[in-house]
Amino acid sequence: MLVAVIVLTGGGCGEATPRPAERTTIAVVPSLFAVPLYVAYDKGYFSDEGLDVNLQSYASGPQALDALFSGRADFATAADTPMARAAVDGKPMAVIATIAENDQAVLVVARKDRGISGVEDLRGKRVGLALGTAAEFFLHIFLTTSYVSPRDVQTVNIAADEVVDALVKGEVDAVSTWAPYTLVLQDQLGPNAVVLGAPGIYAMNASVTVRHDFAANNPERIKGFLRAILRSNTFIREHPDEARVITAKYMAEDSSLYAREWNDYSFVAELDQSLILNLEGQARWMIRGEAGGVRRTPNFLDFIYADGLKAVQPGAVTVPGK
Amino acid sequence: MALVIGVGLFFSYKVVADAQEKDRVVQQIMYSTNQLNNMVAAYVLHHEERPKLQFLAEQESMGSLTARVRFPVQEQQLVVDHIRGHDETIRSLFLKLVSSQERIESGQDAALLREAEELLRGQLIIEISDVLGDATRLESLVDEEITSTQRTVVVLVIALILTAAVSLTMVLILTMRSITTSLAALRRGTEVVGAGNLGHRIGLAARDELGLLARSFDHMTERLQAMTVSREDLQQEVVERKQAEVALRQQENLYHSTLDGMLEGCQILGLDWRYLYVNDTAARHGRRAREDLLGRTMMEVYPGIESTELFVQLQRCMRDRTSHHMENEFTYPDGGKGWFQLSITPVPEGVFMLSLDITERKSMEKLKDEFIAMVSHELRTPLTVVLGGLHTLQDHSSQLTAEERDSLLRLAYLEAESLTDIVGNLLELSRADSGRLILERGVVNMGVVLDGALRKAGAQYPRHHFVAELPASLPEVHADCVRLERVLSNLVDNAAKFSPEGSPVRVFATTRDGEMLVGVADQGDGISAADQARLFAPFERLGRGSAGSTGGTGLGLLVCKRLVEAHGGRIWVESEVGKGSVFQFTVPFWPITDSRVVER
Amino acid sequence: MTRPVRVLVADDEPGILVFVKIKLRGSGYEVMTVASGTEALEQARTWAPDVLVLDLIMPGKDGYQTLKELRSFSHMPVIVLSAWGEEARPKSLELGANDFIAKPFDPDDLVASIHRLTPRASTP
Repeated sequence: MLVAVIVLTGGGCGEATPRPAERTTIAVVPSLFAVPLYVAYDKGYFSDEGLDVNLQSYASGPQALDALFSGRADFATAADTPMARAAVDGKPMAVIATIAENDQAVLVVARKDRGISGVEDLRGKRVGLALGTAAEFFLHIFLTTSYVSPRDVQTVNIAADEVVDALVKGEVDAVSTWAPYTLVLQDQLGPNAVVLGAPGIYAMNASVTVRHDFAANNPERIKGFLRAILRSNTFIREHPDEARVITAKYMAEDSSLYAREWNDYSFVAELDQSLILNLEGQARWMIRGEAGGVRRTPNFLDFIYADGLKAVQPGAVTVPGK
Repeated sequence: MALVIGVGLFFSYKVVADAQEKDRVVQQIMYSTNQLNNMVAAYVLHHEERPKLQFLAEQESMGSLTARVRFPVQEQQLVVDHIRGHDETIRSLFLKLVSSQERIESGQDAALLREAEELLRGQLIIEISDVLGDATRLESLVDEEITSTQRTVVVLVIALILTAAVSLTMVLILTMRSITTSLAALRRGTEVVGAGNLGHRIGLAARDELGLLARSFDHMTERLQAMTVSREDLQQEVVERKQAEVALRQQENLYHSTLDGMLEGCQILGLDWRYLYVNDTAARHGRRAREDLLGRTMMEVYPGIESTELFVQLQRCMRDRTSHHMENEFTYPDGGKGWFQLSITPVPEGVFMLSLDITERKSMEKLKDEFIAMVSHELRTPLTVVLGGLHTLQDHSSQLTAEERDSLLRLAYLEAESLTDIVGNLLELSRADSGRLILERGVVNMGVVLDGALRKAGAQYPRHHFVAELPASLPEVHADCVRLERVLSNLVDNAAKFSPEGSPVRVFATTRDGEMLVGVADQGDGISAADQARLFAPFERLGRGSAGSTGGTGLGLLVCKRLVEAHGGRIWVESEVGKGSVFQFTVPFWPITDSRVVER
Repeated sequence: MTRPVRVLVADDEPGILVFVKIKLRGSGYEVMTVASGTEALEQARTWAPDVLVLDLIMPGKDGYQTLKELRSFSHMPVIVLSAWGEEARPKSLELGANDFIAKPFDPDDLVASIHRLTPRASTP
């Protein structure tokens, strides 16, 4: 009798994939935004979906996207700023899902000994950041909404993974960056570090994207990828400590660092209207900042591939029109 | 199992109800979010107070809602927390928006402020749509929950129905089997018991009608068995009781024989006054045969008994259970009377009466009373003469002639002597009766004794004529002189008293058959043969003479008898009515040992 | 002058008759003595005594009998003397005796009784 019940209620457990494992390269930016990828990779969820995954690390989102568009990677993770740039530049981007959110991700870390104690003190100072990344957009929105004119602050382009050195060496007065760099800097500068931020000012998303053609040709792989991510999210939810340990393996930093900010991150698998709004907003800022040409704000609906996520978790797609 | 399924169903329904509640929460959030959206748009348009206030109110309400609800499913709760987080960001962004508007109005760097405003608005919209997205996701999660639960419910219901069906079938099969088994047991049981085995029990524990029937049957069998057993028991009891009866009767007989043999009368009356037991003596006392008494009531046997004192005492004993003693004079049907000393005791059966025949004693007592009366009377006469005579003498001495004085004195003296005789007789009688009579033997000359007696009598009875007849020589006799004198004196006295004045009284003594023979003859009225027999009996007041009586008790003669017999002699009378009487006694010459007499 | 009271005394005991006679004479009465009931009745008729002193124990007719017969023709006072004691009193009185004196007795009592029962006569 009991057996019969199980048969009737037992929902869709995963079917074993009949196809052979496909080699898949994922371009990852090592940060807490990539935790679901690391967990899926480490726990074998990707291989369960028939994906033989190869992880490649890039220092920043633009670099990861570069790898994707040049064909070196099949999947890439990036924050919304580089994605907005890619869309503005007309790259063949297809975002398949937002995998992580944090509205306190990016911060300005300043040197107290440069006379900086608050955001107003940034006037006339040199702030190092990686152009084209969320750090750039964050600084802009942070200054503006703090009624400090961005024109009063000098930005210096520093590669994302070099900001720590730059500030420590004093090449700049402050930097705009994200975890784990923010944590490392606080450690290294100690009392000399001033952390400036405005929670809620900028909600950074990390999303996974593929190329348009890839999306058209590999719907199953995308579904497999997304299913693995969903499993990861469940795992992260249920075993946060283990997830942290796994992350540390791949990011080469002490897992204790992550514990401090872990709860600020939301690990999801969704496609929201807010993503579009976010991308649009940044696109507009980029276009406006450009001298000369007046490019139009791209229609981001064209840069979203919702079918994969819809098939795997219908309720996760809330973009009207998709 | 049905219980488990039932519980499962209950929980499923609960889950569905909860989920529907959650759904409502989600709807509320989405509504609030839409409102926030509208308010932002409205505010940004005209920067007016109303949209701002409404925005803040709605934001707060959503904030408190998300803080309040609890989604048991972790995944769902995370989304809610997420929404709450966004909600707070939304508030701070909006407030920043409002403050930037105020700055614009204060005329600061307009371009910067406008851009700030634009950025803030942009972010605000992003946040709000984020919340919307989350809410939508939450909704779908809840819906999923409902759907899956509903599916579970359907499954459970089907399971329940199947269980019921299967159970019913099984119950039916079991019942059928049980009925068949019961019937078989019942049939077998009746056969076995019918064949005579009363110890067999069907022993069906089933609670149905067959079981009841079986149990009734068993009950009946049990009763039959008990009755058979009790019949055997009864027979056994009868045997035992017979044995007990025999033992009892043996015991009764023992008591009976004890009571039967008693000299006293024993009788037992039942509470209904029937004679239950009468021993021989009692029957004799009642002057009835035992058989006449047993089983009949006292009233039947002795009509009129109810009016007697005896009956009263018996009644009292019956009623109050008290013991009584009494002396009862019982009048027999033939008129005769008897005196009985009775002891009446209550016994369990009724009343026990012990009777002692005291008729003789009573008559003896009566005679003794009479004797005493007689004696005191006897003494009074001489006393009267003595006292009266002396009194008169004293009172009237001067008036009296010498003759009269003499005669009074003389009379007093003689009567005093008479008193002495009487007292003497009494004393002797007392001694003789109590065995204290001691003879003082000596040599006695009968002639002298005769002389003495006659002289005395002559003085007492001057009008009588006393003659002594003696042989020339009379041997001496070894006897108590004083006692012999008394004997003679009494006889002479009697002779004088019972013969007319002037008639001779002859006293003689002689030997005969080796014994002294002494006699006193008078010419009185004589004594009839019947009277003669009673002459020497104690207390007999003999009315000698023709009619009526004169004084004199049998005292004198009785004393004579005692004294004579103490000597070993005999005393008798020869008499005929109208021809006078001759009293004679003998005295052996030599002492004869008599156990009654103590010799000195 | 009234004649002296006549007392008839009946008793079978001579000794009693003697002293009674002497006593009564000494007390001023005229006395006649008899020794039997028969004689008593005869003298009661002929001598006409005023009072009879009667002993109960007598040969022939005893005192009771004598009394009974006397009463059939005479109401003269009768004093009963008896050695039988007080138990004889009721019967005596019942038969008609006027007084009862038990032996032994004080002769003065007898005199007093006679005196009482013969009031009309005076004694010297």
